[in-house]
Amino acid sequence: MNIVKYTILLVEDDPNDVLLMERALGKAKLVNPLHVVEDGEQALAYLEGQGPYADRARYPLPVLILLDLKLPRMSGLEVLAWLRQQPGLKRIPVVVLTSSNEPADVNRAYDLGSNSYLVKPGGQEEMLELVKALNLYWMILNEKPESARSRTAPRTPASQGVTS
Amino acid sequence: MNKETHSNSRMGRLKRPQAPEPRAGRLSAEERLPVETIGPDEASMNMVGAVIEELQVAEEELRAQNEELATARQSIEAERERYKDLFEFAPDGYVVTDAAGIIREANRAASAMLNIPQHWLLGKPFALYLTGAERKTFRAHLSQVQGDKRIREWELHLNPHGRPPLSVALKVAMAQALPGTAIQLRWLLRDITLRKQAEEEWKRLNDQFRLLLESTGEGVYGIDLQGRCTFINKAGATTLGYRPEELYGKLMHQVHHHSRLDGSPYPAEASPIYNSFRSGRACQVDNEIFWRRDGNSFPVHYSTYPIIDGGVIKGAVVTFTDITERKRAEEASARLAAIVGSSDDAIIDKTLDGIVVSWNRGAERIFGYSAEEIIGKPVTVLIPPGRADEEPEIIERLKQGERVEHYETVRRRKDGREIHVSLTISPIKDARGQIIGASRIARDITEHKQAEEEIRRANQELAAVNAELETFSYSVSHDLRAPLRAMRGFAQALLEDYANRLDSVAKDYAQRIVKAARRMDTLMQDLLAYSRLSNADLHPQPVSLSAIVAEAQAQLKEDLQERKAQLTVEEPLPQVVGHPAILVQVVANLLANAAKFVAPRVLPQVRVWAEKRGQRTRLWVEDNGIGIKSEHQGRIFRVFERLHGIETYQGTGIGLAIVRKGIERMGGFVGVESEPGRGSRFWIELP
Repeated sequence: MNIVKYTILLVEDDPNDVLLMERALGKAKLVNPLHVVEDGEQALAYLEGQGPYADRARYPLPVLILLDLKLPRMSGLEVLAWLRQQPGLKRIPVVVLTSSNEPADVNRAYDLGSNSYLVKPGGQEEMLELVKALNLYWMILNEKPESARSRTAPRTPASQGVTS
Repeated sequence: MNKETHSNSRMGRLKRPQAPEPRAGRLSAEERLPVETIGPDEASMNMVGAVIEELQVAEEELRAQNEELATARQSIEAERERYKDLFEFAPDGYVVTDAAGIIREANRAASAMLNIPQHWLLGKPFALYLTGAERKTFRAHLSQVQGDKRIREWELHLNPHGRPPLSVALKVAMAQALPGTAIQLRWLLRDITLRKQAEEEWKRLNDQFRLLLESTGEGVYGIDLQGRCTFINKAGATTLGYRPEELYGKLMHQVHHHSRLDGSPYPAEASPIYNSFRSGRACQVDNEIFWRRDGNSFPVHYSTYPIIDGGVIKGAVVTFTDITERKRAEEASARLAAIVGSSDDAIIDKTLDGIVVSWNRGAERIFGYSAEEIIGKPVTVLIPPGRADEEPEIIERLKQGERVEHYETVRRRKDGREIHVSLTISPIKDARGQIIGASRIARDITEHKQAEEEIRRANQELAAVNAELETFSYSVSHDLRAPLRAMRGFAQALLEDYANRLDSVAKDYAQRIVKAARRMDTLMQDLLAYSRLSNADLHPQPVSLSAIVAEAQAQLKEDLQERKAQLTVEEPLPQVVGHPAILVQVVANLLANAAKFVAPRVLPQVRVWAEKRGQRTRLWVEDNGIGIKSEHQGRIFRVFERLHGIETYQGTGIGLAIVRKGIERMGGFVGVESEPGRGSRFWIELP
C-alpha cells in the first residue's frame, strides 16, 4: 500500500486529554502521524515552520487541525483567526474540539472559519466513536483542498487514511 | 279806582243823615228862631221852648255829623293816596285796561318792564307790547275772562322797548265797579326770568342725572323708608329681569333679596340695605346674591347709601353689579394661584429684563430664597459663575416668542449648593400679544440626576457581575469538566485495558469513579443550562407547540424507550409565543420528569394536551406517577431541590428549576396539581 500518511495537528494543553486522545486513536487503529502542540503560539510556530518545527519533513503541514479553544498564551479562536488570514494555510480544515458547548463559543468559532465543532465527550466509548467518525469523515470522505501557496500536496484516494 | 269804590261805600253809610241836609243852609237862621217865636201864651211858650230844645239837639247832631263827614273825607283821601302809592310802587307790574285791552293805567314796575314811560302807555293796546306770536293767546284770554269772570294766569314774553323779550307770568282779573259801569281788566305782571333760569338749570341737571343713571352699567335704585322703589335705572331693572316701571312702588327686598343662597329666608331687617336707612350708614357688600325674576340668582356687589335731607333720613340709594364674571375670574385665578402655590416645581414670573416678579413655594423650597428676599431682584442670582451667558441667550429666544423646554442646567441655591434643574420657560404676552415677561418653571432634577447616575453605576456593576458570571460559566464548562473527563476516561481505560488484572472489587471501585464523574458532568451541564437561561437574550416568536413537543420527544426517545413510557399527545396543539430552543428544553424536562417518577414496576403513562385560557395557552403534562404532597409542591421548582434519595430517582434537582426559569423568562407561568399516589399534572402557560 502506498500510503501517504496525512498528519493531524492536535492543539491541546491538557496532557490527560492528549493521552486519552492518543489512546482512542490507537484503539481506532489510525496510523496517521499525530503532532501535538500545547498552546496557540506553538501552533503558529508549527504551521509557519518556525523554530523547532523548521523541518517540514519531520513536521509536515497537517491536513486536519484539532483545536482546543481554551489554551494558554493564545486562545484557539485567536489561532483560528490568524490561520484564516494566512495565504498558504487558510484552507486547512479545522475541527474545534473543546469542553465548551456555550453558544457564544460555537458561533464565534464558525464565524472565524471553523469547519466543525465537537464537544469533548466525557466517556471513553464516546471518545472512540468520535475518533472513528473524525477519521471516516475528515481523513477518508472529505476532499482535501490544495495548499493555497503550492500545489505540491498530491491528490490522494479517499481510502488512504486507514490501514486496517 | 279803589278809592272811588271806598268813597262810594262811605257815602252809602252816610245816606240816612243826609235827609236834613237841604235844611242845612238855614241853620244859622234857625239859631236865631227862639227870639222870633217866644210869645205871651204860657202854653205856647212851653211848646216853643220844647221845639227850640229839639232844634238845638238837632243842630248839635248835625254839627257832629258834619265833622264826622269831614274826617271821613280826609281819611278817604289818605286811603286813596295810600293805595295809589301801593299801586305805584308795587314790585310787580300792574296794568289796568278797558274791555278792549286799551291801557288806562300802568304802574312804575310795568313801565320799567316795558322800558316805556308811564304816560306813553296810557291809551295804547296792551297787546302792542307782547311778542307777535303771543298776541293771539292774549286776545283769547282777554275775551274769555270777560265771559266767565275767572282769574287767568299764563306765561308769556313781553317785548320791552330796545331790550330782549322778558319772561313774565301774567294774571288777569275782571273788575266792574257797579253794574252798568265800564268793565276794567286788571293785569298783574311778574318777571319770571330768574325762575325760568332756575327751572331750566334744574331740568338740565335732572336730564344729566338721568343720563348718568341710564348710561351706567350698574343698577341703581332708590327706596323710601318703607323699602319701596322710588326710581330704578334701566340697567338695574334689566339685571333683575324687569322693566323699570314694573318696579316702582314695589318692596325691593321682596323683589330681589328675599332669600339667601341656600334658599333660607332673608328677613328685610337683617339686610344691610334696611340697616343703611335705619342707621344712616353707607355700606358695601360683595358676598351676597340677588334674585332675578326668573328665579335664578347671581352674585352681587352692592353699595347702599342713606338719602339724608335736612338731617332726616328719607330712604336709601342702592347701586349694584352682577359679579358672576368677576367671581368666576376670581375663582379661576384662585385655583391657578393654588396650583402654583402647591406646585413642587418652582414657578417664577420675571420681566424681560430678568427681574423676578413672582416666586412660589416650590421656588422657595428649591432655591432657598423666600419670596420677599428675591422679588424685584434679577434672576441671575441663581446662575452659577461660568453659566452667565445662559440667561441672555434664553431671553433672546423668549423675545423671538420661542418657548424653552426642558432645558437641563445647573443653578445655585441661596446656600451656594448647586443643583440640577430642568427649565421650561415661556413668554408671557399681554392682551395685544406683546411679550412682557416670562414664566419659568424649574424642576429640581438633582435627585433624578443622582438616581440616573446610580442606575448607570448599578448597570455597570451588573455588567461587571454578568461578565464575571460568564467567565465563571466558561470556567465551569472548560476547566472543571476537564479533570472530570480525565477521571472518567482513565477509570474506563483501567476497566478496559487492565480488565484481567483487576478483581471484582477494584472493578466496582473504578465503575463508581466513572459513575460519579458522569453524574457530576450532568450536574454541571444542567447548572450551565440554568445559568444560561438567566443571561440569554430571548426573542420570543410564534412557535408551534406540536413541533416543540415532537422535538422534545425525539430528544428523549432513548430514555422513554428504556422506561417503556407511553406518551399520548392530544393533537392539534396550538401556537404560542416563546423561544423555541428553551421551550424544547422545558418540555423535554417536563416529559422526562413525568416518565421518571413512577412507582416501581409501573409503566409510565404521560398525556399531553393544551387548553386556551383567554389570551394564553396552557400546556398540560399529566403522569401516573407517585404524585407530590401539597406541602412540597412549592419547593420542586427550586434549584437543587430533590424530594427523593439519589438511589431511588436519579436527577440533579435542576430540571424543574429550568422549567420555571425558562417559562418565566418567556413571560409565562408554571404550576402543578398533584396528590400523592394519584399522579401529577404539570402545566405551563404562555402567551
